[in-house]
Amino acid sequence: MLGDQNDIDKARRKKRDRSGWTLEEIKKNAEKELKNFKEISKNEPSDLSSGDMDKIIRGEDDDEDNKE
Amino acid sequence: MLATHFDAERRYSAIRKEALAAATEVVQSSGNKSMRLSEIDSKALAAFRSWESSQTRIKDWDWVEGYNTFRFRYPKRFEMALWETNNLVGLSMGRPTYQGTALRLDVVEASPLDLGERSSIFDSVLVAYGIYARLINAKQIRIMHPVNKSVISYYEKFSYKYVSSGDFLYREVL
Repeated sequence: MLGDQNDIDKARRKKRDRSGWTLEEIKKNAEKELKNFKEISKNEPSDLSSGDMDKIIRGEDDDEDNKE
Repeated sequence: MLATHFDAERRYSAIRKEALAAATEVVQSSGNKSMRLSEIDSKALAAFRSWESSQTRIKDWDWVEGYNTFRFRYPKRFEMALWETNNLVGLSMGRPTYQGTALRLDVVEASPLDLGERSSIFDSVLVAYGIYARLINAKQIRIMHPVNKSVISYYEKFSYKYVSSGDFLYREVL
């Protein structure tokens, strides 16, 4: 979960900020994530869509780096 | 187009391709052999046109205009067309925030079910965004402007947290 301060998260955060990941590490992590995601996505809304295409077409910018 | 813009387009296009190839490999090795992720090209935009005959789309987005505008403005963007046995089953595009600290998922749409059955797509979409985010060293993924409470609730199941003041959900990339 977000905001967890456990040791694994701390170690991963440190690695991310210092050296980043290799492609192999990224793929391994993606495999793990997908395993968890698959169960959740069984309940995907049938009409899945998200975003604001009108804003994009109008060229409106809503970038807020530091909102969170 | 400025030289710096052209150069960014070239560099980030290589990263996009790498991310999409890795995501396809991961998705297929998980058992979904018929799913493939590609950049949004003329074939994807032509296939999108069939979605316009759907009676069940909740937004009548024009991906041709939207994508062309987005592509022109954001050379560092991430984008994907999802294909299942050569049918277009999803489209998505996003971009890094200006400081590069977060990767935004700006728009996603799954193909309308009244035009044919398909697998769920969001698990594959998130995996691909996760790969691109790590390749560009973004520290957060943000899902922008969820269209209704039903999708907010769905995204929250993936451990994303809603920020009402910015109308997005986020999750740290670890």
